[in-house]
Amino acid sequence: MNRQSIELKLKLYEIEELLIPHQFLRFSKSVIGNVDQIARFEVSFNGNLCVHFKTGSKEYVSRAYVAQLKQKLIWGDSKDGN
Amino acid sequence: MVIEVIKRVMLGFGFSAIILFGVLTGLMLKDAVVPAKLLWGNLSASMIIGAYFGVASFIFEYDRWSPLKQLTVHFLLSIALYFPISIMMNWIPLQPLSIALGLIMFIVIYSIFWSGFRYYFKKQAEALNASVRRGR
Repeated sequence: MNRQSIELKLKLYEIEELLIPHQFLRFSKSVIGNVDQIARFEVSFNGNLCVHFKTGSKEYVSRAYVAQLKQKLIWGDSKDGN
Repeated sequence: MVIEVIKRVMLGFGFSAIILFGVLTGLMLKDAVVPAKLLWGNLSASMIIGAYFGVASFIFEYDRWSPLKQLTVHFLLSIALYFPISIMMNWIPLQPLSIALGLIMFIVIYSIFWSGFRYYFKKQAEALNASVRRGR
């Protein structure tokens, strides 16, 4: 994917409902990301969990969402059965 | 939310019970006789501290603060509560040397817990990385 930014007139929770059945997941209050586009994780100096995407962008994962993320990554998604 | 607060307070009470059990075991082995009033005071103080640490864990879930800020606030609040109670209960005598020693011990124990969590988070990141590599 090329680095494109698209503006949507939807609330983040509405986008979440649309994208969660696919490979997307909530990472924090303000971030939804594609799980298949994750390059690696890193614990930053101050204790935040950082996620680096294949595109080179970097976001933080809230502790509250880590368990969910781990489940999706390790066990695959149970929602669409793959 | 209210239930979660109660849960964590209860968890704190549980820890204070374990500590009191340890202390009572020691006293029993020495055949010591302790007045109920003293026991009541000490148990109350340790229950307050237990409840505090239970509820204070919410600080680390407050996303709007960076982990560094969470840690700083939690650390300072903990000291602000623990030291007055310890001095009041005579766990730490009100002398400069004792207070300094108490502070050092507090920081050492606090650091051990912090390092434990840091280790856990590192392991968590490693596990996530391993699953990302496996998925490729």
